[in-house]
Amino acid sequence: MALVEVKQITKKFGAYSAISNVSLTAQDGKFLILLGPSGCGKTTLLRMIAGLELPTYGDIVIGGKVATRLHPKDRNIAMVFQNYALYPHLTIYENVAFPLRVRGFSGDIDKKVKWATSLVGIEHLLERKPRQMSGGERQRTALARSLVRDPSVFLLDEPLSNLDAKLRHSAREELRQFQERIGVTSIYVTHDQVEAMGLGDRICVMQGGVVRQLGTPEEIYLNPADTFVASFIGSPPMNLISDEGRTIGFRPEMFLPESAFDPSEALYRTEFTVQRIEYLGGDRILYGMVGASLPSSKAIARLPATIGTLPEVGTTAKFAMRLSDIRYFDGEGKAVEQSRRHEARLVVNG
Amino acid sequence: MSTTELSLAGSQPGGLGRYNRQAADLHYVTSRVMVYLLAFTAVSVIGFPLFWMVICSFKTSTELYQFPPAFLPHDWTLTNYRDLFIQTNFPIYFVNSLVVAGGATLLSLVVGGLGAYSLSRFKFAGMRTVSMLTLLCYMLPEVLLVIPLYLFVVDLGMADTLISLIIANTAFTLPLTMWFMRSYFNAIPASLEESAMIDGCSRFQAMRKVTLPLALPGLVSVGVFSFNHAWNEFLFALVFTSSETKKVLSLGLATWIGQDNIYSWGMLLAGAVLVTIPVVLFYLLVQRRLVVGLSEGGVKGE
Repeated sequence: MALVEVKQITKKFGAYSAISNVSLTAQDGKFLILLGPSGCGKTTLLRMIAGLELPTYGDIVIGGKVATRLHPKDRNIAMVFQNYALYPHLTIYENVAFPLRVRGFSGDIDKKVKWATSLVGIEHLLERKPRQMSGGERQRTALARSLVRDPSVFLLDEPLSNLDAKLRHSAREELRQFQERIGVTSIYVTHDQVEAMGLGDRICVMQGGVVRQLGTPEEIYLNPADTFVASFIGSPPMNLISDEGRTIGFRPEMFLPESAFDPSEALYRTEFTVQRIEYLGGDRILYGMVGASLPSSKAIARLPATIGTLPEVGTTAKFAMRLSDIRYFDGEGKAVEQSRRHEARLVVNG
Repeated sequence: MSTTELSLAGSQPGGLGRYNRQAADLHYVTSRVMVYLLAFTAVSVIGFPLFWMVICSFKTSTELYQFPPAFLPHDWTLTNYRDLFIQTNFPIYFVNSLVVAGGATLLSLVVGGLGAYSLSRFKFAGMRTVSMLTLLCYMLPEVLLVIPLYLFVVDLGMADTLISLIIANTAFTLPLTMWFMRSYFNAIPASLEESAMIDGCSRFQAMRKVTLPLALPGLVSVGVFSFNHAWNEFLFALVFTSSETKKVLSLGLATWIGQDNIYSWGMLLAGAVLVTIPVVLFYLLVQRRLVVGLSEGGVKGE
């Protein structure tokens, strides 16, 4: 178990900067998620922590020791790759035993392998070769191999992206329980925000090689630091409406027919012209245009099934949201600070 | 194979199902016939001379010149083989050939394999140029190189040595080895080695424990190619070596075919049989790996 600190890391490939001056800390025993669209530098950052890439500038500190120039094998880290990187010529047993053997482990290898494989529930498959296993079993093997030698940091590079949707859900669940049980500092790369929200103690949202926001899933969802985070997190994303050099944001599930609110609440009222309704079982997604006091622009509303009456397509209905649910962003897309929000709210109401 | 499925698919009321089955059967039979015809042609063109060579090496000299020739020898004899070992330098040629072919194979596997590995895994200045140049070398014919190479060989004091042959043969097979192995290494995901390095290997250990076992079919293929090339090579041997004790098989046997007469057909054929045996043995030994290597051209990482 160890603290991982990334200090002012920059990585350049030729003239292109994949990562620009990123600093962050993965807390001891916690689950940190690196989240971002493809090409945002999250995998490059993970590979630098693993020692597979050398940062152009900056330092990586693992467990209080500067590890920037250490060879991967000397960092006591474990990594699960996107394609699991199981050795095809070795059996599952030998795959799991591999890290122990190459490190000249002096104890009982057999006992350790049995322990690791039973933790992930593949102890009955030890004689198979990787290609005789299903995707889920391979993923478990990769997990078993990475934890067999008690690493101090656990790195995971989109380990669930090769699984089908249903399996991915249960694997996510297991992964989280598993991490809590062994309590190893984990850094997890993904582009899937659902995975990130479900797994992470903290999420680091990256884009274009910089950190856009670092916080708990709640913080990131409720108070996005800028319009990128606001539109990247949430499905459907936050409605963003530009108005006189500012941007107003509100979550689709907070944007409901006026009748759904208690009239005594502080509401912001507007009109919503419904253009299309998507039925998703538990929810209905309404696509349309807001108008009235706001500049006319596209918006999405997400209505839970508990709201019985839906506006017809093509009609304009009275919609509203709580004033406390509205977020404001300045001209550059940065979130407006709490103290300045009051002022901005008055402007909207006026 | 799929005749039943076909008939099921078309089993409408009426004769449709049966018609499909007949068509499928006809197709099956004709494709079988074609395959056997092709196989027969290949076997007779390649196999008959081999058969004739083996048969004739057991014939007495009178029978060899007999007309019309008999298919099987009347008296099976090993005289040709005995004479070969007693009267000629055949054993020396044979050992020389083994040394040259084995040495060239080993050298081109080590140098070519390592070179291909670095071309595949690392990025360095002039990499494209290097890999294109190696291919260009392969396109130059031996005849073009043999005289300049001979000058080098003499200058280096390596004239009439087996080492010079090993190096020349390696130089000739190296480009192909490198290109083949490079694409082979490219097909093995780099993440396997990265994973091995995180698991506790140095780069060299990762290559030895993970990449090399996976590249084995490819190494076998290029090994067979190099061995064969060096075993059959004639021109370098002719120019670089002259003394009787440094001759290899291809050169030694060829000198028996004199200007106006053949020294002894029986011994020549017996020699030819013995030349063929190591190659055939080598093929049989690695056949399974070779087929995998040539057809797959790579391994899937998962």
